[in-house]
Order: sequence, then C-alpha cells, then structure tokens
Amino acid sequence: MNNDHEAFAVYHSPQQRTEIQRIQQQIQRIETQLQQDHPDWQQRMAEWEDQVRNNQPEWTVLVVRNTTGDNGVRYYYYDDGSLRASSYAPTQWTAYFTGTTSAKRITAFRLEQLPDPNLPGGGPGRSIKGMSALSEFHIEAAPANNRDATKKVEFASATADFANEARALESEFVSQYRINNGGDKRTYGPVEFAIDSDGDTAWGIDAGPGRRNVARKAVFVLKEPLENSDGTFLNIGLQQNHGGDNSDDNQNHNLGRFRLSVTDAPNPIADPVPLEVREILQIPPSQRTATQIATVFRYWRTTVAEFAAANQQIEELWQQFPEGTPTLTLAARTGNSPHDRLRTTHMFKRGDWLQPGEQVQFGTPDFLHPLPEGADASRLTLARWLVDRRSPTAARVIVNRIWQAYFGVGLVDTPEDFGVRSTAPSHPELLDWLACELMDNNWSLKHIHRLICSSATYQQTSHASPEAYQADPQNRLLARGARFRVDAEIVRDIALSASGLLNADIGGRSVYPPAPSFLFQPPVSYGPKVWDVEPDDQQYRRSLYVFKFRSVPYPTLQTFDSPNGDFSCVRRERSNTPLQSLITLNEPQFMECARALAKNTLASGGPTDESKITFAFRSVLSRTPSPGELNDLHALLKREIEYIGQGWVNPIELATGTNRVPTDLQDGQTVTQLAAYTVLSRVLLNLDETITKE
Amino acid sequence: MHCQSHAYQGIHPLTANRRWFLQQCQLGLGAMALSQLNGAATAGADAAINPMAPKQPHFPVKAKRVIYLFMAGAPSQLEMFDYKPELEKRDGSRPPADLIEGYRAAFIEPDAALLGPKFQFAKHGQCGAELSELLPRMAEVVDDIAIVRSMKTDAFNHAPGQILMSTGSQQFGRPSFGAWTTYGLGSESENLPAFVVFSTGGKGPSGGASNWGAGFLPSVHQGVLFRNTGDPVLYLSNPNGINHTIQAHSLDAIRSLNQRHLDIVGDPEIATRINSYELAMRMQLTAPELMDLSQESKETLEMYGAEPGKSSFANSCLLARRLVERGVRFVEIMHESWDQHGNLKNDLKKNCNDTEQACAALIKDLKRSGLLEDTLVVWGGEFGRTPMVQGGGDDGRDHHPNAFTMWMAGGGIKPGVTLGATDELGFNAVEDVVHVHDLHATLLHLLGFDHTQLTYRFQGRDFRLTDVHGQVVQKLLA
Repeated sequence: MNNDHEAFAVYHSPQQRTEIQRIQQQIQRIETQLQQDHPDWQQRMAEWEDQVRNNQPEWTVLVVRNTTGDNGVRYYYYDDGSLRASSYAPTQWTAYFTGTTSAKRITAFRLEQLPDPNLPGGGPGRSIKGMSALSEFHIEAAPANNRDATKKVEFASATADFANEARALESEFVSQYRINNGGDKRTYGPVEFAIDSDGDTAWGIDAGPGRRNVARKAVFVLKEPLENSDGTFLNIGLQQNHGGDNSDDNQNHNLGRFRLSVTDAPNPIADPVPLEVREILQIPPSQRTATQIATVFRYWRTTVAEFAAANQQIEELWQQFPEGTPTLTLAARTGNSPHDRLRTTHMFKRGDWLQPGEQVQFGTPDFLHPLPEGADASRLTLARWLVDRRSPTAARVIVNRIWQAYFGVGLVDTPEDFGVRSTAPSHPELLDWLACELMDNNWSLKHIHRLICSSATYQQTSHASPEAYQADPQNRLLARGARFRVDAEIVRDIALSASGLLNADIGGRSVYPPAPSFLFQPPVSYGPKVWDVEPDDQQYRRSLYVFKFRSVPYPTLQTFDSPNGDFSCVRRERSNTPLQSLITLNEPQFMECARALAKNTLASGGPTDESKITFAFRSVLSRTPSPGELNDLHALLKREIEYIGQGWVNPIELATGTNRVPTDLQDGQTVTQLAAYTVLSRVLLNLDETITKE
Repeated sequence: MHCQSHAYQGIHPLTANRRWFLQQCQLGLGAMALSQLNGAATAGADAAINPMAPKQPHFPVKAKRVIYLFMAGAPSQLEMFDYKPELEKRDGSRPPADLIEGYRAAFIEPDAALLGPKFQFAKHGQCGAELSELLPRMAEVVDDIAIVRSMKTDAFNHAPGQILMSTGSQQFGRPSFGAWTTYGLGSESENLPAFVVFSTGGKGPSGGASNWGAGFLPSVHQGVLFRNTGDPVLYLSNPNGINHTIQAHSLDAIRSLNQRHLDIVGDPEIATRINSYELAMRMQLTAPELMDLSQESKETLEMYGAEPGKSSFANSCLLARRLVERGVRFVEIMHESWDQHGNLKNDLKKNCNDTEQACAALIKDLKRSGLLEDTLVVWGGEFGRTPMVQGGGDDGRDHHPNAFTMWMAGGGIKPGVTLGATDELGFNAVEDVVHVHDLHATLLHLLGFDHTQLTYRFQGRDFRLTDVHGQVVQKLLA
C-alpha cells in the first residue's frame, strides 16, 4: 500500500505490448544466434572491455547554479552535481547558470543528460516523450578572481554519443507564430547544431520509441583552452529554442536532468559507450548478473564489424517498435526494500497539500474489524479486509448504488456517504439482505441485478395517482415503479439508438462529436483546444466515449447534469430546464437523429401512414401508440405535409440539412413526406417519456 | 427555471393546463420569488422539489442581484488604485530582506528590483479617492463606489487564484459565488437563466468553466455562458429547414402528447417538462430582443462605448444591465487580459481603454434607473501584481497575492469609501485587511445571508462558500 506515485509514462495498448514482445524476442533470438555462431564471444568481449575500460579522460563535475531569474523554472540540485528543471516550462528561451571551477586548464566541456523518474517517460528531457533539443551551447569565462572580465568562448568541435538525423520539428513544437512570420525553419539533429551559432538548429537526442529515454552526452571542445591559475568562473547559457508557442507542458522541448563537467585532456570526444554500460563495467565480471552481461553484449555487438548483418536486422526490428502514448499514470515506487518504496503520508492541514501536518501510518478505523494479526502491508490485505463479512460496508455500498441505478434514489440517498452524517437507509433490512445476497453469491453483481429486476417492487407500474406522487415525490416508500429522467449520456444515446445512427463499438479512444467550434477557442477557452469533429460514424459512438475537457464541458452532457470531473460524483442532480429542451430540439446531432429516423421510417415503416407512425413511435418509445397519440401524430403529419407542400420552407433542407435531393426515396415517396416525417420524428425524440425511465 | 410551483400552490397537476402554466407559472414564479424575498419565506421541503426556491434570508436583502466584473489575469493595482510614492523613490533598488523572507513568486526571484508606478495619480470626487490617469471615467463615479486597497489572497497562479476568488477554495469542485447566490436567492426570471456569464477578454479564464460551476449544488445553479453577438445561448436558433411555424406546430404536438402521458402517469415532472418546452420557445422569441442593443439610445451606447453587433466588454456591460432588468440574478463578465508580466504600460493602457469607460457607464446607468440601489457591482482580479519588476527592463510585474485592489458599488455598499492600506512599498496589505473569504462573507451579507448559515450538505458535511473562514467587513456596509 502507499507505494505508488503519479508518473508521466508511455502507455502501450495490449496489441502494442504483444508487438513489443515479438520484437524483443526476435532481437533476443538474433543475439543468441550470434553467440552460438561465435563461441569465443565472451573472450572477445572481455578483450574489448580491457581496451575501453580506461580509455576516457578524467572529467571534473562543474557545480552550477541557475541565474536566469524570473522565468518560473525551478531547479533541483543533486549531490552528484546534476540538476533537474521542474515547474514552469518556457518553450523558447535560454537558461543561464554560473559556476566556478578550480581547474587550471579547460580544454572541453561535457554535457550529460540523465534519466530521472520525475521526467516524462523517465527523461532525460522535459518534452512529453522525455526528449530535449539544445539549440545553442554558450559559455563565457573569466578568471575566478576577476569575474567581470568574462569573454565568450569559441568551440572547435562537438561530439555526442547519439544524435538523431536532422529533421523538422514534430507538430507539437511547430510555432504558428513563426509560420505567420516567415515560416518555421527550425530543425534538430547532429550535435554540431548546438555550436553553429544558428538558434534554429539544435542537437536532438530522439532515438525513437523503445530506445529514447536513456542517458546522452555531448562534448564541446574549445578552440583555445582556458588557462587560469586561480580557477575559472563560468557563465553558461543553454539555449532551448525548439518548443512550441504555448508555454505548457505539452509543447516544451527542454533539458530535464543534466550535469556539466570539464576536462584538461586534449581533444576529447563523447564516450560512445553508454552510461548504463559504463556502470556495469565498474562491476567485477564475476559479480555481474545475466541481464548485465546481456546489456554489455547488446552494446558491444554494435562495435563488431563482422556482426554488421545481424546488427542491421536488429536495427530494422527496432524501427518497428510501436510509438506509445505519453500519459500520467500510477507507477510503483522503486527502492531496495519495501520500506523504501513506501511514501510518507501526512495529514494535510485543511486538505491543503502545501501544508503537510502530522505524519500518519496506514491502518483501519477502530470501529470496524481489525486487520489480521501480522498482516503485511499489501493491497491484497486491504482488499481482503474490505470485503470481510464482519464489516459489510463495501457490500452495502455497492448494492445501494445498483439500487440507485434502477430506482433513481438509493436506499441510502447519500450513496457517497455511509458515515455517521449520512441519512439513514429507507429500508435498512432490505439493504442488509441485499448485501448478504451479494456476499453469499460470491459477490456476483449480476445476481443482484437479476434479483432487483425480477422483484415485484421493480416491476410495479410507475403510473400512480397524483396523490401518490405528491405524498412521496422521490418514491422512497416504493409504492410504485421507478420513474425518472435518464442520465445525460443516455439522453443522447437514446436519440442515436432510436434513429439507428448509434455506433455501438466498445472500447477505444475518446471521440469528438459535433460541438460549436468557438467553445474551444479564446475568449471562451483559455488557449486553443483541439476538437476535430469525427468525419465518420465515430461521432455516433455512445456518450460514454465523448471527450471531456474539464474547462470546456461538452454542452449536451453538461446541460443534462453530467458533472465535469472536478470532483468525484456518485449521485447526480436531475434538473429539468428550458436549455435542455433547446438541446433536444435544436442541437445538430439531435436534429440529425430526427432526419435519420424519418428516413428509416419511410424505408421500413410499412405501407400506410399509420404503420409508419407506429414504426417511428416504437423505435423511440418501445411501445405502440394509443389511439389518442396516433391521432395527434396523424394530425401533425397532415398539417406538416400541407404546410411544407405550400412552399413555406425548403423540404430538402429540412429533410437532409443540405441542399442535396435525397436519392434513396422509394417509389411514390416525396421529399415533402420525408420532411414531414422529420418533423414528426423530432417531436417523438422530444417527448418526456423518451428520455424518462418508467 | 424549474417550475414545480403547482406543487405548493395546491393545484392538481392533472388540472394544470397550458393556460395555467402561462398565467401562473411563468409570470407567477418570478413574482412569487420576490414575495418570498420580501416576506416570509420557506425553504425546507420545497427546496428538495424546486432547487430555485429561495431560502429564508437571515438579514434584510440589500442586494437582489449581482454584476461581477472579473478582471482575470490580475490587474496591476500599483498602476491603477494604490499609489506608492515610496516605491517610486526606491525604483531600481532591492526590496528589504525582511519583507521578502519566505515569499514565493510565480516567476521572479523574490529579490527582484522594485519598480515604481508607471502612471500619474490624482485625487478625485468629494471622497478624494486616488486613481491613476488610466481611469478618467471611473474618476467621475468614485463617490458611488467603495475601493478596497487591502485585498489579500492565498494563491499566486491564475487557475487556483481564480477558483479561490470564484468558489472560496483553490481546489476544483466547490460551487461558485454566483451559484451560491442563486441557491440562496432563487431565480426571478423564468425565461432566462438565473446566472449568466460572458467571456470578453483576449482568451478565456485559465480556471475555465469551474469559475461559474455549480460544484455539488444542484446543476441548475451553474452559470450559463452567453455570447454577446448572435445566439446568446447555444442552440437557440432552429435547425436548418425549421421555421417558427413548424417549431410552433411541433411544440403543440409535444405538449399534447406529454399532456396525454401526464393524464395517465400522474408524475408532475411531466408538467415541468411541458413547462420547460414553453419556456424554451419563449426564450427563442424574447432573446433576440434582449440582445438587440440598437434599442438603446445613442447617448447610452456612447456612454458605454458599446456598438450594436460587436463583441466587446462594453457591449457585455450594457447587456448585463438589460439582463438584470429582466430578472437575471447574477451576471458575470470574465475579462481575461490583465496578465502583464511584460509590456505593462501599453497593455494596461489598452485594457483600461477597453473597460473603464463601460465600468463607469454601468454605475451611472444603474444609478439613474435606481437599480444601483439593490444591484451589487463588483470589480476585481484574482490577485495583484508585485512591486518588484519582472523581466530585464522596467515594464512588467509578476503575480502577487499579498495585496491588491478591488472595488464594489451599489447593493448596500457604502459609497465613496476607500478602505484599507498597504505598506509603503505596496507589498503587504496592512490596514483593514480583507481576505477573499472576508469579501465573500460581506457580499453574502448584502445578499441577505449569514455566510456561516448558508450551507449545503455534501459528502457528509455542511459546506459553505467561506468554509471555516470569513468576517463581514462592517466598514463596507452602507
């Protein structure tokens, strides 16, 4: 318990995970084959290791402090001399740092970018994929004893252990402002881009999916070594010009965790051996795990010329690695012992996370049954405790919510609160009986659904005397069947379903049905938001799949009381307002449903007006109309055919929403008829009974 | 807008017909809400049925409606209301170390150099209130407003600051002040929403729709976003091909079919639905007239700087007056454009040009029609701006929660008052400090409610706009 944190990680779908597994297995197979074909590989790898073990010059970490001042970025400083940028993320800017080194001679600087669990995807950068782009690397230097005498330092060369191919920026970084002012010419790629005095080019470190979130390094060699017998004061500028227009987390391309070092060695280059491999080489060979040996092998094989064909095969496999979706998620905390993995938890003063109070340990409330003696702190322990029969709160809560779904109100009408301040259950014995039924039937929810649906109470009619409605408006005494307006999502789903437009696919991404575009642009929205209306039948997916912006709720759902995600909500209010009537009358998708229903009705509603009206009525209300209802609808149809026939409105526009003549009418059917049925269908979709469970 | 009045007028729902609704419900509810405001009110059981039923006020109702001018982004009080000669003198020097100890700013380092005011100040009106040259029209109405120079808040970023100012909490999910107002006072308008919101700045407020949300209150209390051109509310216009006659035919059929069902089922909620459709139709008919600013006199349009057909803060102010005249309880104009981290001088000049004339016109206009008497006008942002500079030059200020200025007028606010003071550098509010919670307590007081007693039970406890805080600022009461 309590051993997770909110990580910004890369999500892969189940299909993608299968694909990843396949790729990894194939790579594994090729590597195993290489080892089998070259039985002396261990000896050769050891020889290589001897060659590279001490081939690096000595680097001295340069401890620096940020001096940029007022741009909102905050830095964490670590004992190893590295820093991590956090908080606000400007997107086109230069970060400045100063530091002093006692080194008497400096020939080159090294910039290491390091992974960190606090960065998206594990870093090392701050973009949503954990990447960065360094536009220019600037250094000014002065003798430590005369800091004001800074001079710009010129570079002779730059090397890196990795740089992506030169390419244009991805869409999230493209600047509309630049496009409007001559074009966005920025590119990123080779490390030389960071010293070419061109702010539009940057060193890029994106090795693609599966391989990008690792440590990287670049070495910048000076034209003239810096020589200061009393040490050197340095002013370092990391220009990061390759983000988008909006300073938000999604558009920055900044360095995340990084470290600077200096050396006096002549002409150093960036160590091609990855940091991860270097660390393993520090471990005596006899103490290395199989995974560590495999990691070293995975790098070493790339240095062996005769393995070129196998390396190429593996490279091609990496190219197939699926691009996941960066997202916030719960991740397990890492640590050496279970204790390390636990997060310390504080009482927050008045719920404010900035005001941690007393530190607390997990446990269960005294008034409920205790945890078993010697129980471990796992989630399984908690799960078992939650469903223990000695405190059947969990069972009561869940059956109450099922009851609420069927009757509109729970047996406890505060389903979110079963505490001392909740209201008392209307039928306590029934609640307990249902809770026991749930537990006795192996927690089968289906059993409870069946039990409720097959009960005489549920099967009562909701038709009652006005006195009965007045005496018990919420039907707490269950003297009649349930009758209430359905939830927002179902209001929309009913129209889609009755008209035949509903796309009943299950699962997948969220969708963007039609909505007024101005809602997603300033001045209604703070920043421009993407709402690309689905061009195909994705727009008819169930409302469950409608994308939700907390700051710009989807109007149809919001108007019918769907909460907008600001807080946890297990009970909705049910309002009944004119704005709701305007939605079901005039909202484009509801109108489209009316048109679709009219079309279906003419196509499949049988030969007579009566059969057609009955067809439409049944599609919407799942019953046949009474004679009076049929009479009303007949009268409406007649009235509309006459009125539309007189030419007061354009029947094509009414029936199709366009000026294109419908082509799928059957013999003898007219556009006027289709238009009149559209009016009739719209009336049916707007009845109280249509959106009411009764 | 939730008409269940037949339930407590003793009219049998089965006998409720269209004429009854038109005569009694639409016109009647507003009048009834008023009578309840003025006389003996009952909430209790009725409130469970009709969330728009007014609660029993605790005090005399001084303000019956509110126009809230939310200057999102946070205007610089130091250039508009809070003149600091000492800050001017110490322009360019570092702030005293003890002043900024423990201070956190959004962007700048706390020891950034002090920045003197960028505009000239002068005293105005009989009250002698000090305003900068950016506010020439407001100078004409200073005797009608109360300026609070000692506001203070807890948040220094926009979204939490706005949400705190709007809902009394930095965290999402609480009802907004507008929602609490309609929860307390109910609605006087049956064919307009009780709580109307405009957004007129360069962009929307960073706190989004939660600024006018209902939180856990019944959702009828949430603000309805209006546009100040075209259809004021979404889906007000008929779809392509449907004209007014067909709409009327359709509504006849809907009413008749719903009535048939009501006759059989007996659920008064069906009567409410019938009424909702009648009101929707009425809204379709009356909204264009409401939005038509060309009905206003040339003199009025000029006073506001409003131009019919345009989208502007001035137009929204004039619409706000037209809305409150028609019984809308709460109008909020969100104007997000005051975030002057840089380009302070030019942008402030522009923002004041865009807004101050209409603000002053609104006061004058409400006053001449007598509406100011019981209409509360509130102006302010979510926090203030730092006495320290942001950016390399001398033309920007960062977010500052410790001190800022708001003004209010009408509805029981004492006119011609300048309340409170900041220290000599304008860093901290030091005299008659008014926290956001105190402001809320005071505004609710004017609306007739003891802020500790206007509560709603949610998740096991009684919630208030002011949570466990808030003191009514007596010095602001007329």
